[in-house]
Amino acid sequence: MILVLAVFSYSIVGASDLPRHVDPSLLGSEYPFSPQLFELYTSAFGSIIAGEYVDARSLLDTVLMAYAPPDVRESLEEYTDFVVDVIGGFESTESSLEEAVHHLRWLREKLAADSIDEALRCLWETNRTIGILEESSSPLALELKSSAQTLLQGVTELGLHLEDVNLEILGALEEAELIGLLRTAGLRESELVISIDVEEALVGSSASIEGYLVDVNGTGLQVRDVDVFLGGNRIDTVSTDFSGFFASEIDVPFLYQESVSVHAEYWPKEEDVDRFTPSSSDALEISLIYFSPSLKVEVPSVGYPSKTAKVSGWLSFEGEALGGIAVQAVSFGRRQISKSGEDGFFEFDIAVPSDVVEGMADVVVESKPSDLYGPVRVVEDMEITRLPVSLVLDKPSWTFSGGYAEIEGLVSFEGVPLGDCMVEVKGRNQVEYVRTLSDGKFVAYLEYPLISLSSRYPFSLKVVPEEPWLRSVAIDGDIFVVNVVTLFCAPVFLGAAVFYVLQRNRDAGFVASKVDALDVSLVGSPSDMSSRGGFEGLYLRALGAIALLSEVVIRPSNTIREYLALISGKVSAGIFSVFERLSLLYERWVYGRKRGGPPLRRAERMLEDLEDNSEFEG
Amino acid sequence: MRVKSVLLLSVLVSGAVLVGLTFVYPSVDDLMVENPFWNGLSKVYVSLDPVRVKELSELRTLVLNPGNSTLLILGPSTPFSEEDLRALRVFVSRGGLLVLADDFGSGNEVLEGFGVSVRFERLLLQDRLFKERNGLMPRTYGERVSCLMGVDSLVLNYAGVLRDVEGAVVLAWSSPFSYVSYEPSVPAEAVLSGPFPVVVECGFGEGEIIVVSDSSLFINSMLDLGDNAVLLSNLCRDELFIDEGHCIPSRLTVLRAGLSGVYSVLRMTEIRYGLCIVVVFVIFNVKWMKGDDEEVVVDEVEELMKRHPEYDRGLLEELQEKRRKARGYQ
Repeated sequence: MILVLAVFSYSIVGASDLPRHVDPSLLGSEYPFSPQLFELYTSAFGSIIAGEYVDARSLLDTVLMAYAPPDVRESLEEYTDFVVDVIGGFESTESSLEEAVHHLRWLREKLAADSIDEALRCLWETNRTIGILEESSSPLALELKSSAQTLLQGVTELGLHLEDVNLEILGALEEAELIGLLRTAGLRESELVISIDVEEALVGSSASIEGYLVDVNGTGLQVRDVDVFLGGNRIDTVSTDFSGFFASEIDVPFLYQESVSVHAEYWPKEEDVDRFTPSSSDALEISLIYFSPSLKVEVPSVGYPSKTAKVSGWLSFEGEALGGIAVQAVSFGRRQISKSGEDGFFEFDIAVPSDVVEGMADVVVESKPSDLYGPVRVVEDMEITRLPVSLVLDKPSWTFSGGYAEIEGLVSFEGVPLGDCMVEVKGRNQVEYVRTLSDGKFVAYLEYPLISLSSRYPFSLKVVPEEPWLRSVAIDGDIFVVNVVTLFCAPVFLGAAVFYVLQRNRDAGFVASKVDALDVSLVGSPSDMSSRGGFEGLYLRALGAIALLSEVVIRPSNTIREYLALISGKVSAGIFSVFERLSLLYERWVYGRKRGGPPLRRAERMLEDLEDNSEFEG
Repeated sequence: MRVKSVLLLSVLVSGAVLVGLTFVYPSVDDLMVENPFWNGLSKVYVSLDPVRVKELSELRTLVLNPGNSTLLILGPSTPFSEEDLRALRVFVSRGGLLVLADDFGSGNEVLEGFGVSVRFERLLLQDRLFKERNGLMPRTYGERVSCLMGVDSLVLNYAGVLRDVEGAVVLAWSSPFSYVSYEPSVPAEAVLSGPFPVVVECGFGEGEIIVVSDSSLFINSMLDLGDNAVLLSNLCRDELFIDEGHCIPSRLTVLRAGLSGVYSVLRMTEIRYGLCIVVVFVIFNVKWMKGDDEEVVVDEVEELMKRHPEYDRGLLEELQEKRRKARGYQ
């Protein structure tokens, strides 16, 4: 049994798998492929040399995204950190160098020198980190079971780049020294100071800027051009008077933000280039004032697919309606633009798409900025839903096989019948489509062929309304199918079979003990006579009757034929004839080939004849 | 007699246990929602409760609102009939989202059916750098698009790649260090080097087709790796359907289906009660037959001699022999 189970079970659960995936738990952990990994580092080194530090950092982030087993991971992260330090070192160096160049541009040689010092210090730190990087390359390569040649080559290139940066710094230092020489020759530092008459201003209004351009001794530089910048854009160029004073009227821009910055710059021209340094004023902030209107929006709380939702609103400021301002509504990926009326009201008809997903949807309404009024934005929710339809179903609980089940229904919405809804009725092997009539009713038939045996047969019914704003409804049910033929025939056949077998077994029971069958001719006790039935009992009864008439009792050792010989002449010829036929019939039945049951009726008739003759003679 | 009985009993018990096991033992079918093992989709089924579609033509009746529905076809193995393709075209053209994840299966038939240029390239994608532990499980990286919201990386498993993606929007790529070959290999033996598109989006009618070059993305052992689960969640609309008609069932599943068929037949009233009667009848019949069998064991002459020691044994044996011959025994 176990063998059978094992063979069967294996053949079932051991179904071969398509080569589409492998069990992740069976896949071992692999080291990162070092040539590819080192290629990434080399690219990062290249980006550092090109000054593309963002790219370099990104590449290093990518390195860390590569998979590495825990034992290698630590070394990889440490090495990457060193490279990140190198990037930081170069960045700081370049930042200081740029600062120095900026100072040199404004001919501030002392400040420039300070920045150059800082750049040199950073570069020295970077040089030290590159040294560590070089030392770490070989151990890392060893852990990855690879050669460090690629990494070391990249580090060497970094060292060369460092020397280039060093040269740049030295160049800047020379420039600073040159400016120092110019200053010795009479170059004076200029200074620019500005002020604004307002700290905050309405958008669209004007503001006055005034200031002084002086040299390092406070002496005004007269008839020099000063550029005025607003938010980074040059908006005016004014000339200084004899005292270095200048003034400018600026228009505060229609910017709907918190503030805007203002500053002024002076660039020496012509012979002033060798006399004065350029200068820039501090940036001053003007806080911008504008009005934020009030926007009240009314959005229907619920929207239905394919229907229109009316969105309305009122735009005002401090209770006063704001008319003529552009307003837009964005919903379901569509944009509509309108204008507020004189009374500040506006309205949109938003079409809800028919295939929209049920749930919450955003309706965004915003007013555009206009003059002193800034933009305002309101987001409201609208729940998109579909309404359920009502389905009243009338179906039989049972039917006969070979017939059909008539399923009637009424589809309605809030009591109003819905026509033209698609109704799908699915039976066991049948799908029926019908449409509801104008009164909302439908009739569908599920057929059950004659071969359907008696059972519960499930069916499902789905109603899909034509209108997108209505929700479909589905119902499952079952119908009991009665198969009259099988229900009646089966018991009849079964009964017949049972009867046949019982009959067969009764006969079998009659000859159940062959020992008794062999014994029957030898046993003739009265108790046996009364206890036995069937043919055997009949014959024993006959033996008893003959024993009384002939006064010869059959002995156990007598065969049937011996007994017949013994009683021959001791009973009448008629009785002997009947008993002889009965005996031979019994003998044939006991010792002969069995064909069907015993000839009981015939034997009974013979016994009756025998008993009649016995009584007559008696 | 005894050997026969033991064998019969053994087969009967084995059969009963086998039937029981068939019902109790979970499915082991690849990419089946009933399979709780590593290669099954039971997690998807439990978390998202998709509607199982045996015939794609059923979509016509199952899908109420295509615009709000997603159909997953994961690792199709059997061919798609023209009727299947028509049903898919109708579904997608009416706004449905079809997610077709395949690698070495019959997915190209679907793409041909839609007339899009994208195809599954039957080459094995590997990545020895950006991977989940092993090069056969490469990590891929998505573009910043809505359906990949929250998806940083996807982990594939024995995946393929896509080709001819012109005209489609590539949503995710394998890394530049990935490569493809005919079987697991080292980068030096690569047929082509990456990056390769692995997830693309194609428009069709009012709907979309998302093509993924790996059928294993959502199996139980892979769903929790990377952001695979996030991608699945992003792709699933309110109504989710999963195609089961294009998988090759294992023998266990076939046997289970057969047994289910037998069970449904046995549920018939006539069969059910008829069977009860037959079983009762057989039980009794067997008992009677058992009594009949016993006589063979008994030696009738010996039995008779016990009852009547005074009988002539030789005569009885002769009589027994005559009876035997008269009944046709040898």
